[in-house]
Amino acid sequence: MWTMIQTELLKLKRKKMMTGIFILITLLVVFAIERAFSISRSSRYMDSFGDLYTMTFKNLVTVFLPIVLGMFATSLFFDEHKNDTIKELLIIPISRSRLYFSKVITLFLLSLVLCLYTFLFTVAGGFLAGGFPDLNKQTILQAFTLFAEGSALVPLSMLPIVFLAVLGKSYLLPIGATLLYLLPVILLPAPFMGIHPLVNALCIYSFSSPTAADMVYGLLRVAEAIPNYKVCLLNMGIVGVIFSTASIIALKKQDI
Amino acid sequence: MDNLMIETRQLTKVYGEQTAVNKVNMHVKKGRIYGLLGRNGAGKTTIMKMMLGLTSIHSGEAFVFGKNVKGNEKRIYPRIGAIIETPGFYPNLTGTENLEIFAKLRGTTKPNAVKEALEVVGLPYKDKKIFSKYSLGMKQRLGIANAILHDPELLILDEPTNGLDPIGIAEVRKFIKDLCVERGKTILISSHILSEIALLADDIGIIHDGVLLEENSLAELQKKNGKYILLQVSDTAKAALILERKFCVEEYSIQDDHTLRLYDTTLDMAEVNKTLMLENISVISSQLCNDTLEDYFKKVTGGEGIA
Repeated sequence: MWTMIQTELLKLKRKKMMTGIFILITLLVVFAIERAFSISRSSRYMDSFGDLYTMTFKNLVTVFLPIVLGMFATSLFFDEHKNDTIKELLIIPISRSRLYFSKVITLFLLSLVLCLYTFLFTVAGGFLAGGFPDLNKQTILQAFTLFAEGSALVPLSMLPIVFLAVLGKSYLLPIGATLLYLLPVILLPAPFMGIHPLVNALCIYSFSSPTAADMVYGLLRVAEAIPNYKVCLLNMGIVGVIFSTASIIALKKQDI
Repeated sequence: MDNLMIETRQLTKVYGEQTAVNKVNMHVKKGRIYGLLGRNGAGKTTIMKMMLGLTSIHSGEAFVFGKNVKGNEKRIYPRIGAIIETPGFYPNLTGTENLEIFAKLRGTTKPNAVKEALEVVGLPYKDKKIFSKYSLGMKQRLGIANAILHDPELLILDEPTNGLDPIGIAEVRKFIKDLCVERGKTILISSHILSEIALLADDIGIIHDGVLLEENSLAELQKKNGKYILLQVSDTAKAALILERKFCVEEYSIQDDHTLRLYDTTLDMAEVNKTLMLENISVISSQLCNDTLEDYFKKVTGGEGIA
């Protein structure tokens, strides 16, 4: 499996999409740091390091990362069909389930890299902007935990979109579905608690730290909507297993 | 049979209501080049795809190296090199990078395997040119390099000369011949170009509308389609009798009531005509014919021939 993941990473060489992703994520962090510079520490919007990292994190996991991972997953699966490389892989032979898991692990790896990148820049931005009284080991660790949770939970939430990407007929369906998938998270997350994987991820973040909990309450606008994190995790796990199984079955049924 | 590398039994593929491959029984012998000849859409690629597990088998079986393909993929496929339709590669990577990926996935342990494969097809090693900038001919060469990268025993090549210029076609043809003759590889090659198959194959299978119409060695097919005398007479049955008795003719065929084919072209036709006329048989015409494989293909497929 490691060899397959290595080759998945090699395939990303010179991909313009990767450059675009890193430019956009840098802009996202730069925007947050710029806010840290421009908003006074006396304002309640930027009076702690928690405000800075939860702002970056919120933008990352509710909008930016799901879109990027949706596009990336589509590219991972659909491009094998577009470039006709799927048949070369299957002739080797590589089993369709191994192919699926290698790509999903690559998706998780990208998520991890992007979250780590954002985390490091946010911490660096916090020190550069200065004036945060709570910028210490404890808050940095809390931020790290939150970003680590996001790096695992967002790609897990995206497995239904990966299923659409596996069907591999065009870019349009999975990318369009990604945008639709995001709407409840952006517009009205509370009613989707316990149903929508990305909203369930918010529930899990809320147990990470008091700062994270404040961020989630701010997004949900109702504190009572948050169930036990085990319920949310179980729901995400079930959705992940169902869509992974469906993806592998779909891959196995595909005539190349 | 022990020397069969590929055998299909009643192999069938149905797409919706269309039967793409219909009960094909194919036999590819070890160390030989088998040319699968048919027009576009005849079912050549579908047969190859079923052998390689790229498309499901509707009914029938495919055996490779004596083993049923279904359930033995991991044992069979590492011993096969293949090009199906156009070779697929990653457009953002160079030829070398592409082959390195496939070598890695195949677990190729041989050092310089990529370099050697590229040398064989005349492509540069560690070149900076990415695949999307390759010409059609270069793409096809890279496909062949990928197919031979792991030194397979069997090569399945679907129209490997597609997109190549005449010099490239000749080079690939020589290379395929050498692989068979010098390295003892078995090769299944498909083409819609009869002249290509005629120049390469030891055995030929003619496929039309999903049905394998004929399977024979090239030598046998050529024998069937050599020179002959086409004789048009008033009564073929009577003429045949006279030819047998007076000229000891054994190799002939009656086409219809008025047409005969004589395969012994050394016969003295003036004498034949004179004898037949003396026996009250009118000779309408007699001519020396030389049928090509293309004529034979037309006849077998009942169509308009092939390029």
